[in-house]
Amino acid sequence: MTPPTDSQAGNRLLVLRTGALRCALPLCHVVETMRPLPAQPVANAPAFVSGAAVVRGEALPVVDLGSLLGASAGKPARFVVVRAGERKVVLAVEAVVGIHELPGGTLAGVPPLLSQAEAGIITAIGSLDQELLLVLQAARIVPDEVWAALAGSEAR
Amino acid sequence: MQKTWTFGRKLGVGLAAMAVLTLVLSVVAVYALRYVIQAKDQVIVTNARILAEAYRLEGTAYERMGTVRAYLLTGDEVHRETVRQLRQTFFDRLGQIRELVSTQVERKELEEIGQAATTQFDAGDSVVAMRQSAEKLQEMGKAFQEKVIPLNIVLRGHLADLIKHEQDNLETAKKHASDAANTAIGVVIIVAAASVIVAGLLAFFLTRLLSRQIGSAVNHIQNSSSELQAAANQQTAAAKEQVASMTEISTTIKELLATAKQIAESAQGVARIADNTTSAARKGDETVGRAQGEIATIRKQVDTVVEHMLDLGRKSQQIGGILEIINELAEQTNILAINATIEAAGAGEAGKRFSVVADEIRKLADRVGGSTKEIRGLIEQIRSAVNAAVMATESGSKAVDAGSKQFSEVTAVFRQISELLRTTTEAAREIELSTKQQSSAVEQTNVAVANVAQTSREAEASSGQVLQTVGELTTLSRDLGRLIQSNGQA
Repeated sequence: MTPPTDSQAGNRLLVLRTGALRCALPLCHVVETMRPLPAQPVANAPAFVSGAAVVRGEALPVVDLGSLLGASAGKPARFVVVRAGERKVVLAVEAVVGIHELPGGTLAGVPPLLSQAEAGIITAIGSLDQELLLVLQAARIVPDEVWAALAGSEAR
Repeated sequence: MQKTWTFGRKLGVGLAAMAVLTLVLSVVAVYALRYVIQAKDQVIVTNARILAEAYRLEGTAYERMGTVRAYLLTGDEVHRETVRQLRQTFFDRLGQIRELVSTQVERKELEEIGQAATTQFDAGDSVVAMRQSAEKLQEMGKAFQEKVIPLNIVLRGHLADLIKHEQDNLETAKKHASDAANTAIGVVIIVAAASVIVAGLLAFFLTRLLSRQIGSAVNHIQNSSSELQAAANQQTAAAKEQVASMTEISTTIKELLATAKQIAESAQGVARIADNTTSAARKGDETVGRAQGEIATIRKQVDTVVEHMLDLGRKSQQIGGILEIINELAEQTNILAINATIEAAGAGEAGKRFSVVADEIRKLADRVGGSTKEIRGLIEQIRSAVNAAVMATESGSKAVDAGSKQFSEVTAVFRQISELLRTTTEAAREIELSTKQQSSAVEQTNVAVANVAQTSREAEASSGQVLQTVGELTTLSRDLGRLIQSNGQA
C-alpha cells in the first residue's frame, strides 16, 4: 500500500470514537480499518497496550485508545492500522465515524499545559458537529520501551 | 299379771274372775233359794195344805150337820142323799189329811176326829132314819138334841184342836222358813260383798294397768299423730308443688309439641328446598359440562394461536439472522469503503473519483446499516410483541387449563353438592319423621303427665283426707287419754 503524503491527504481526517471522545487521525497516517483481531498480551507493556495482533502476517502492538487518552471506553469494535514512523500500530477504537475534511483554521494548537501532559500525542484540537475533536499524532502514540518489549516478545 | 298379756286377755281374765265370783254368788244364791223354797214348800205344801184340808174338813162337818138339819126339817130325799155323800166326802178328806201328816200327835188327833165323826155321823144317821116314820118325829127331835148335837160339839172340838195344832205347825214352819231365808240372804250378801270387793280390786288393778299401758300407747299415738300430721302437711305441700310442676311441665310439653310441629314443617321445607337445589345443581353440573367443552375448544384455539405466534417468532428470528448478514455486509462494505477512501486519498488526484464512489458506497452502507438497525429494532419489537403474545397466550392457556381444572373441580363440587343435597333431603325427611315420632311421643308424655298431675291432685286430696284423719286421730287419742286419765294428764 502506498503511503499517502500530507499534501495529498490535505486536511482529510479519519474520525474515530472511543468512549465519549472523538479523535481524528490524518488520513495520510492511516493504513486501513478492519474488524478486531485476536491480540496476545505483551509482558512489561503499559496498561494502554492490550497486546499484539498479527495483521496481514505482521505482529503489531494494539493500543487501546480509550486507555491511552484516559477515557472510559467500551469493547473495541474496530482496529485502525496507522503508521508510526517506520512502524505500524493498531489502534483499538469503538467505532470509525467516517472521513471528514476539515477546512484550515478550524484546528487550533495544543495549549502548553496539555501538551506536556499528553506527551505530544495530541497535535491539535478542533470541533466537529459541535463536539470536541482531538487530532492525534500517530508517531508518538507508542513509546519506545513498548517497541522494545514488543521486540523482546517477538524474539522469544 | 303377765306384762306380755294382751288387753283382751287381761280383760278376759278379769271378766273370768268376775264370772267365777258371779257363778259362786249364783250357786250360793241358788242353794239359798232352793233351801228357802224347800222351807216354804214345806210350809205351803204340807202345813198350809193340812190346815186348809182341816178347814175344809171342818166345813164338810158343818155342811153335813146343816144338811141333816135340812132333811130333818123338810124330809126331802135329796138332802138324805147329800148327807150320805158328805159322810163319804168327810172321810175321804180325812184320809187325805192322814196321808199328809207326819207326826204322831197329828195322827192321833186324826184318829180321834175319825172316831168322833163316826160316832156323830152314826148318831145323825139314826136320827135321819127316824124322820122316815112320822111317829118318831118327836123322838127324832129329842135324839137330835140330846145325842147328835153333843157329839157334834165333840167333833168340832177335835177339829178345832186339829186346826189349832196345824196353825201352830204352820207358824213354826213359817218361822223356820223365814230363818232359812234370812240365813240365805246373809250368805248371799256376804258373797256379793266379797264379789264386789274382788271386782273393785280387779277393776282398780286393771284400770291402773290399762291406764298405764294405754296412756303410754295414747302418748305414742299422739306423737305419731303429730309426726303423721307434719308428714301429711309436707305431703300436701309436696303434692301441691308437684301439681304446679306438672302444670308447668304440661305447658312446656305443649310448647315442645308446637316447636316439634314447626321443626317438622321446617324439615319439610328444607327437604323441598333441597330437592329444588338438587335439580339446580344438576342443571349447574350440565352447564359446567357444556362450559368445559367450550373451554376445550378455546384451549385448542389458544394452542393454535400459540403455535402461530411461535412460528411468527421463529420467522422473526430468521429475519433477524438475515438482517445480521445484511448488517455484516453493510459493516464490511463500510470498512471497505473507508479503506477504499483511504486508498483513494493515497492515490492522489487519480483516486479522487474513486474516492467519491467509495464515499457514496460508504454512505450507502451507512444507510443500509441504519436501515438494518431500524429493521432490527422493528424485529425486536415484533419479537418482544410475539414473546408477549406467546406469554399472554401461554398464560391464557394456563388460565384455560386452570379454568378447565376448576371447572372439573366445580363439576365435582356440583356432584358433591348434589350428593350432599340428597343426604340433606334424606336427613330432612328423617328429621321430619323423627320429629313426628317425637311429637307423638311428646303427646303420650303429655297424657302421662296429665295422669301424673291427676294422681298428684288425688294425692293432694288424699293428703288432705289423711290430715283430716290425723286430726280426728289426735282428737280421738286426746279423748282416749281423757277417758283413761280423768285428771287430764293425757
